Amino acid sequence: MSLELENVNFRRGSFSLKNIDIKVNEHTVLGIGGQNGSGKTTLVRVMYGFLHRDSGTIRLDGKVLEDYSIIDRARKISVVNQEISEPFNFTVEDVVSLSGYSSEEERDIDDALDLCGIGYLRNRSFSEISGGEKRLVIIAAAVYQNSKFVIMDEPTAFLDIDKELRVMKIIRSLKNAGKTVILVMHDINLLYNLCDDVVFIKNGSIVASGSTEDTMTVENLLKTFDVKFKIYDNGTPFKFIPDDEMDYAKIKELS
Amino acid sequence: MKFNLKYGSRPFKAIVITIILFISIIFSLFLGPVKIPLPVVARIFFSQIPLVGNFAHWGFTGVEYDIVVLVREPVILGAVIVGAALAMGGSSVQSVFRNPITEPYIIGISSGATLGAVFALSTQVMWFGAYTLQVLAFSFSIVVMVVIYSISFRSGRVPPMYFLLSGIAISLFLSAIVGLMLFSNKRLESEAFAWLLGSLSGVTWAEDAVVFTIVLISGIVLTSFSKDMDALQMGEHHAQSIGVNVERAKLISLLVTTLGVSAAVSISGLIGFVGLLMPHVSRMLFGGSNRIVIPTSAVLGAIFLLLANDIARDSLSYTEIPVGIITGLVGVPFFMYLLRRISRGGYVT
Repeated sequence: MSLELENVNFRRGSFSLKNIDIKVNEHTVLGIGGQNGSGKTTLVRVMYGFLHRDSGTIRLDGKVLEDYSIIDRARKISVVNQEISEPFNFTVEDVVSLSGYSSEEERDIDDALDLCGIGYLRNRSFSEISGGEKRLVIIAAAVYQNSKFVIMDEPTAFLDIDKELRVMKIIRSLKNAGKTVILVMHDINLLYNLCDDVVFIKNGSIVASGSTEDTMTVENLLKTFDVKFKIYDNGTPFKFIPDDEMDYAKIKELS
Repeated sequence: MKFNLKYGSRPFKAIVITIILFISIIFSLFLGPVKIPLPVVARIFFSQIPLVGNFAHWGFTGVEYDIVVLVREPVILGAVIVGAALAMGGSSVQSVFRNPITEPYIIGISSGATLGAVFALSTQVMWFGAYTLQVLAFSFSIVVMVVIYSISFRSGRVPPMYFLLSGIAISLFLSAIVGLMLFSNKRLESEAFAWLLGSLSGVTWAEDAVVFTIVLISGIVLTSFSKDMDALQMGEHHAQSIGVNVERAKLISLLVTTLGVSAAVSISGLIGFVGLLMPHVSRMLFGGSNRIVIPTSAVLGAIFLLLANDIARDSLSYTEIPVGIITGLVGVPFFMYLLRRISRGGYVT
């Protein structure tokens, strides 16, 4: 049970992903970090086959991705996309149960809604609820899809702290339930707290990858984000804090 | 889904609109220059239904039977079929393009069918006998849709916005050609004008039978693709990630919609607003899931066009107003009213 990318290349216009090698291990959380526009979203779209790579191989459980039909792929991988569309007059229940498309048996959506803490939204109109609630609904839909791999592209974007904590809880319980989670995220400390392995990319290339402990170093963060971080090892979840002095120096330099 | 017949539930509302459809059919059969009492009309109507007919086969004359069955019924059945086809087409196109202000005509059906009809009128070819105009309108609109689809095909997929814009561009181009044909042949203007405004007068049983079959098949296929179309409303990324073959779903939905709507348009000409408005009325009443929206919008479209056609037939004693004018005049205020009344529940954001 794994998802492997071997020497994957992809080009559209002036942007390209170059020589991407990633192995996502079973029952782990893999974090993908990088600046805006570094290619994180493109990478995950290539990963689940929405965008077609120009070269290289992607193997899902030992089989080349293209050998799966779209519906079989959905049985293996579910995706929480960054953008959320507005359907006409759907209830939350309509949106979540739609993700049972690839499922052969009828299941109740209650478990997924409860895990995401949105059982109370079940009969509400999807267009009426808040942006943060919508994101939780989309996450609940991915949970309901019940596939082995769950890709989440910025699941905590625009969420308040309460919902951010809820998403962390969801990711941990998915992992405990034997799922493999691939997480695209900006927040360094969330990546550090949630992920077993991380991949940092910059301008479409991998800058660093490996276990979170080994890879999340001040040096790699500087290489990836062009920002110097300080480490505060005081037992709190906030280990990495941007170095103020460095920022002042940068501002001075710019002005 | 639990079957709940309580007042206000979805099955309850579905039964109510179906009953309204049957009442509208009988009421429409009653209207006309020859006065036939309503109970007689109802008996004649039910006498044609197998089994039920045995109990209703009395109390009318042969002339009354002929007027109802041979003169009025084909037109009324035509209104039901065309209204249903336009509304189902609207539901499908709006879902595929995730756009509430699209209607089936936008995918090239109106411009293609108009070109076919005007071509038949201007050249007076008789390739398909008395039905040449209908067959040409039907086939031209399918060809135009396929052309628009093909030119919108980009690296393995058809981006919806690209398709819509190509559709508009090709439609404008074909309208210009139609304009040129009309401009160069003044005789055509009144005939083409009637076609462009839509009319159901003169529809025959034979036409009904063919169009009914095509619309029924199109409706069944669209309903079977209702989940795919629901998923498309959530965006193509989402749809694909839950397992929908997005390109196949779009192609089949659009092709089947084109078949149904082109068949309808071939006997009615262009009737506006039904395909745009009725899917929204259905979503306001029944929620957004296409499994329910497609069949119920068909019923609502049938009722709406039937009643609009009644007004078109009977409001002026000396002539019949093209029904397309009535659907516009009645449809828009009706829709604005509904939008205000039923915008509770977050339909309008």
